[in-house]
Amino acid sequence: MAGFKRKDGPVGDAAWRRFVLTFLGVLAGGLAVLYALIIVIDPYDTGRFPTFMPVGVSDENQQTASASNGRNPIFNAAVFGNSHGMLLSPARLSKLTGLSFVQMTSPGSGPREQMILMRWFMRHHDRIKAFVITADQTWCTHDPTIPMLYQFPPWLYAESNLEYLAHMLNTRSLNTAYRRVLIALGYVKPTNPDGYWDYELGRTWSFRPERPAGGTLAPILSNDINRSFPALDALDAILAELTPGTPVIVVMPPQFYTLLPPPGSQEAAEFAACKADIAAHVRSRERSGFFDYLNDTPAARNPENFMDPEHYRENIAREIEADIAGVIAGESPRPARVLAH
Amino acid sequence: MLFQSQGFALIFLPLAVASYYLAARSAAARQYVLIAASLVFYGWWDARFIILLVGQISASWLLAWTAARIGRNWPLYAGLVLNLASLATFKYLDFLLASLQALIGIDLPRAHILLPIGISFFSFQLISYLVDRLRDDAPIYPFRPFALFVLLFPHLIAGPIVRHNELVPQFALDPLRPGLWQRIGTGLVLFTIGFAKKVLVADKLAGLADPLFGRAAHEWLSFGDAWTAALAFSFQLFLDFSAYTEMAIGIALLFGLLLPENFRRPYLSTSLRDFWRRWHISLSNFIRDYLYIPLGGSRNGPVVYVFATLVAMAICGLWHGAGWTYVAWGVWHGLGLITCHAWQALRRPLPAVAGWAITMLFVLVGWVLFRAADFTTATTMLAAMAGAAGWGGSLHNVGLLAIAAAISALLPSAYEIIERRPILSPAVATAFAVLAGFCVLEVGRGPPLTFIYFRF
Repeated sequence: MAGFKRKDGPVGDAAWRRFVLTFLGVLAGGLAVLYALIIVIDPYDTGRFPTFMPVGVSDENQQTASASNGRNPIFNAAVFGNSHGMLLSPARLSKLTGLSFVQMTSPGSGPREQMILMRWFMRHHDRIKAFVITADQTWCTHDPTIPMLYQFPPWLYAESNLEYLAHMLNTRSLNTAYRRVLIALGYVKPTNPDGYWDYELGRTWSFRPERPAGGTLAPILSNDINRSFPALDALDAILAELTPGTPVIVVMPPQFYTLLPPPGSQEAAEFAACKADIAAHVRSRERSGFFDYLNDTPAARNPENFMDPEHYRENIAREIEADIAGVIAGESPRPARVLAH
Repeated sequence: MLFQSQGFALIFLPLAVASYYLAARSAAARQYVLIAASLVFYGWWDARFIILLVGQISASWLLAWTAARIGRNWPLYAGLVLNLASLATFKYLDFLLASLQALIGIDLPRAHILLPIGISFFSFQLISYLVDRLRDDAPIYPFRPFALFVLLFPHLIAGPIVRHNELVPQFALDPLRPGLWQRIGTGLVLFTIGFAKKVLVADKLAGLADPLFGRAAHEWLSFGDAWTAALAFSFQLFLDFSAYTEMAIGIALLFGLLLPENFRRPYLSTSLRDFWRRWHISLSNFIRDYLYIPLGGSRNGPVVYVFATLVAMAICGLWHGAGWTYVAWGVWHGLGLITCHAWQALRRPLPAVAGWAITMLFVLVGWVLFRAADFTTATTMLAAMAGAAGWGGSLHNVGLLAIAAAISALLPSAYEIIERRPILSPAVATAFAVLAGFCVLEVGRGPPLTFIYFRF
């Protein structure tokens, strides 16, 4: 094997000493230089330390791109959630409301990740004009630990710089830093800072839902409905930090009706209790509203409204955007909103 | 704490080595440094299990000491029962309950006890010491070096399984003795090679094998998929475990200690007996010395030989995991060893290439059994490899499999590297440093995958 040879007699310890010192010098020196470069280049544009780099990233991963987008001072309103909120267009919302919206949704995320992004946006904006939260079943968890649901980098948004620094020495940061250098040199264009990604783009609609399995509906298993929703309590604490009067709009976007808990089941009863809890939280705030589209409605039974069972199409997004804009404009939301389609 | 994590490679290990050499002049001080480092290392996973680990070590030593004081053997037997009971409780209780339930058809509760990491390894080391005391083949060591022989963090979690007489005498050696830089240099080279094998090859193979074995649990695989899964896992297992061993031996060398050999390029074996002389050598030696020979070995007639081989290999299988697939894997190898023994008695040796091909096919089939979640998955996989689902599909990622095969066959084993040496030029030192640096950057990407043998 190249690099190894048979012992051909005693080798002085001096030769080994040189070998060891060269190894350690190159390893420690190389890593130190790369680490310093990564920190100075600030690959995710977090603004934690002084940098000579321009603002913006070339990053199509929404879990990391939100670090840059969420601190961009041109925005004063944000949309949070997971892929169920992704299709709400910040450009259209901005046009409808006169505000400047950024998309901070993170695919696959649950309430814990989304609240981390809310705090990041709040830390970097003094005058927030609107807060849109697209919620789904994950917000109704009873788990007090509010676990993360998907790979997500909490360290990127952590208040502690130490936590951030502990996660920066790696090939991913290095690649991202390289792309930032290419942006600075003009070889690569930064991605759209409003964070919008249209999942319909380049795809042909082909949703053919399977017929739901027949059978009897699940009965209510017990009258003891668990009304503990720790994620909603944690959200309350965040919203309490917003300036009073900041519009907060919580939206439960539609899903194809087969994904809804069976009527009459314990799950359905608890889901209804969760929605009532959200409505009560939001109703106590000025210029705020809760839109519950996550119901068995004609729109939720029409396959043409969906790309797949979970993800609605642009026609639905436009209706939701109009409803959000209405609340921001001061209209009160109708209590039981039904989509037109 | 994993060897292949930044926390270990950049913080824990440099601090431990620096502290050790600062204390090098005093045997007691440097042993305390290693004990403290080992406890931190072990406690990083779950500090609660430190009590179990230290408890087993202390109780075993105390019982051995008592036996020596009173001149009776019963405390040694008590020590054996204690260690076996700990292993049975923490590793095998739910398996035993499930097996009993299947046998008697009555629902039994499960204990759901968390498996303390490395319990199979440290329990076996304590058992070997107590058995050696019964054979009058081990001294009573002072408590500190005895505890360190079990605790020493390079081998604590996944071996190599070390015998007391291989390690305890080394604790008295001055780490600053001549050859210091050679030991450190060789240690760094071995650590780097293991690091690279684990992070750059074995973990990539896991990405190939795991989804296919997952699919085989509920659907038929194509011929190509099944062979991809079997080959990828076979290389992954060897590269993963030998990587761990190389890192362990390398780390121990940084402290001036030499751990025993565990692998000698096993995929070049030309017979199954040859394979077991090259694969997980420290476990093979343990099974031979503490099970196979006491059960009768090969010198008491063919019936005793067959019995000893099958029982020893079945227990070897069970040692790897609490499941019947592991037992079946052990018995499979037992039957193979018996057949091999019988063939060799005929004195009609096969050509080396034929011997190698048959051995590798046999080992590969065994690994499918070893890796599969249950017998149904193993049967599905083996049937697909035999063409039961047709001859469709092709090998995936042939490049990665070829690299894995080349490394398995050509890369010298840890002891071969120690016996040879790297060419001591700045260019080679730089190349190893760049490789180590790249591995450090790679593992920083996200949660590292644990070594397969941590489960055992």
